[in-house]
Parts: sequence; structure tokens; C-alpha cells
Amino acid sequence: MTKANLNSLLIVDDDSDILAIAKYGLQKLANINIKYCHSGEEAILEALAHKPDLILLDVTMPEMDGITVFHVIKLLPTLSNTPVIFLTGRVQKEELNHYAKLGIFDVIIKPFDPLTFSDAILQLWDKFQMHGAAF
Amino acid sequence: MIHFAVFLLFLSLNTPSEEVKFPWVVYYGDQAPVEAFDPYNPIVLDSKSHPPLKPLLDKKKEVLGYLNLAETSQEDAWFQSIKDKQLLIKENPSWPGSWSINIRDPYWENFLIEKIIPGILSQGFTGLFLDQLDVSLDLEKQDPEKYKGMTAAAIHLVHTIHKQFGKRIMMNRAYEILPQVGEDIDYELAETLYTSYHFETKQYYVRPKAEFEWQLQQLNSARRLFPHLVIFSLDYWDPKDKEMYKKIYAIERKNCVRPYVSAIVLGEFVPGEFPQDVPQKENKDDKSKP
Repeated sequence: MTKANLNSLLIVDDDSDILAIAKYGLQKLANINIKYCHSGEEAILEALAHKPDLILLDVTMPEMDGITVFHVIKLLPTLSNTPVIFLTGRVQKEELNHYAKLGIFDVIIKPFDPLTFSDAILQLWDKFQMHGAAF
Repeated sequence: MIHFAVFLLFLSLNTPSEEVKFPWVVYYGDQAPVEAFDPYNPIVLDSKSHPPLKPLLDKKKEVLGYLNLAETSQEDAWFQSIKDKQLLIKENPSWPGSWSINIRDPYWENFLIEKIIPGILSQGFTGLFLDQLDVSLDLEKQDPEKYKGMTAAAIHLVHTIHKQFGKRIMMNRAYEILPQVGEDIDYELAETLYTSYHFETKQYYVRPKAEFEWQLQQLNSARRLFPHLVIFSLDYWDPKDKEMYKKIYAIERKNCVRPYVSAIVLGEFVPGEFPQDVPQKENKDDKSKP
């Protein structure tokens, strides 16, 4: 099986501080086209326009939360196969089971370490290439 | 009878006589040089405006970030969203601009877990200082019908924060819920244990003896129930009155708590008193040792 490279990434969080930490952590990924969005609505438009390989999605956002954005993405034919990773502080067993049932590919726990953030994303991308299924 | 004797023995083994007295400090400014913190551990800092954390972490300091669980003010980035959700209850007369929050609303807990706490911990803080839960407990005491569930919500918040993040936790007061959350926290802070500050008269004062002793009873009960719990005190007094500072430190140490005394405005760095006269016994259970 040929592995595809990760070429584009969309990160969504309404918290500017979290996005700043993410940007800092992703400096290593110079060859990847990374877009940052501050809201669910903006994320859907951005995803439709650029069709990222991978979407990192904050769960708790005002107006449209991450779960709603995820449901919309899954309904859009051009995006329905795009893996979505939740950025969340809620990672108790029952919460992880809930995300898995929704069809989320995986989660990255908040707060994340900017020093290992890019490696974590690349590992999850490799995992998706290998298994392509929810965690 | 034998059981009772064993119980008494357990109590005597858990008296606070072995409390270690390393200095600790709380500081809500950002101007103090990092070297000023060398003697202290743990260090409680404001989570928005603080000295650089990395040099403190490099020195293996335990640095706890301030987290107001029950109030918000316009200085908080999330104030408007909490207001929009109609979660504000009333303004704090002692701190104008600071509003109590309806902590029973699941939105607040979720916001804490998903936004505020990750924002604090991602800066490098090794733990959290949970403040102002007394505000929520007092609301339910004042109007049990209207604010029913505030105490339960406070307990749930502390449980959840411990469970989700597993970081070191210092809780300020909230003595009434100590029996329920003692396992979730590492440190209990007795703010204004011996002295306090009157906001209307703008004067420092010694608390009535009955209030002081009631607090000590709560703290000693918690210590017996949760032997891992380290008890700290934070008293306020005019920093120019050095004699009173010595007296407060001596009284608090006599009651086996780890004291710190400061001006009411914690943005001013007031050096702690060093317990040269107190033998610094090593306590393998003291997690705050540098």
C-alpha cells in the first residue's frame, strides 16, 4: 500500500492563544500547507475551498461547536472521507467512546505540548494511512 | 473497644506536628525577577500576567496558575461570552467589576475544561490554584432555594478538574466541601486564617478567635481524613509592620500550617519569612519540596 504524504492541514479553534501555540508547534512542518480558522462556519468554508488532507477541530466553540462542524463535514461529499481529529480536554473513557461512535478519527488532548505537536499529527496521519478507521 | 483504640492511635499519628515548613509564595504581578523566587516552593502566580515560567520550571519549581472557578471580570477574555450565556449572577462588592458565575450551568464546566484550563496549563504551569469557590457556597447558604445545587456543582467541578487533567491542585478555603474533595486536591489554602482585610474601612484586622479556631478545626479534620493534604495559610497585613509579620508567621507555624503573609494586593512581591528557628525536617510525603 502506498502511503500518501500529508500535504494540507486545517486547524480550527476559536481561542487565539491555542492557535498561536499550534502555529509555534507546527513550524517544523514547513512543507505542509496549514490553514487556521477561528470558527466552525469559517472552517466549513475553508474546508470546502481547499479540501485539506486532515482537519484538527476544537470541540467547544461558540455558535457552531466542533461536533456540529463534524456532522456537516460528513454530509459533504467532497469532505466526507477527510479524517477529523478533535482537540479536547475531555478525554475520559465515556467521552472517548462517544467520539469514536461519532466517527472521529482520533483526539489530541488539550493542553498539547507544542514541542511534540507536529510529531503527534504526523503519527496520526500515518495511523490513518495504515488503518483509516476510528480509534 | 479495640477498634476505638486503633482509631485514637490513627488520629495521634496524623497530628500535624510533622508539618514541614518550607516557604511558599503567591504573587500576581509580573515585575519580580525570577531569582526572587529561588527560596520558594510552591509558587502561585497569576495565570495571565506573570514572570517567565521557563526559568522557574528549569529550577524544578512547582508553579501553580490562578484559576477563579466562581467569578469572572471584564479583564477575562471570556467575560462577554459568559455574560451572553446569562451566567453572571451578581457583582462582588469587595472587588467591583468581578461577577459571580452560575457554576451549575454545564456550559461553565465545559468552558473551563475545554478552554480556560488548557490555556493555563499550555503555558507551562505545573498545576492550578482554585480560587473563590466560597462565593458559590455562600450563595447557596444565603438563598438555599434560588441557589440550590451550587455546593454540589462546586464539588463536581473539583472532581472533574482532577480527573481530566491530573495536575497538582491547591484549593482556597471552601472548607465545607473538603470532606468531598480531599482526595482530588493536594494542597488546601487557608486564606485569611488569622488576619484579614476590611475592604470598607481599608484596614487589616485580626480575626475573632472563634473564627480562627473554627477554621483550624476544619483544617485539622481534613488533615486527619486526608493525610496527604498539605495545609497552607495566607494572611494579609501591612508590610511595613514587621513585628506583626513575625507574630503572624509564628502563630501560623505553631498551628502547623505553611504560612505566607502579604499585602492585600498580591501584585506586590513581599518576601516571605524564613523559618531559621524551625528545624526543617525532611518529609518524604511533602510534594512541594523543590
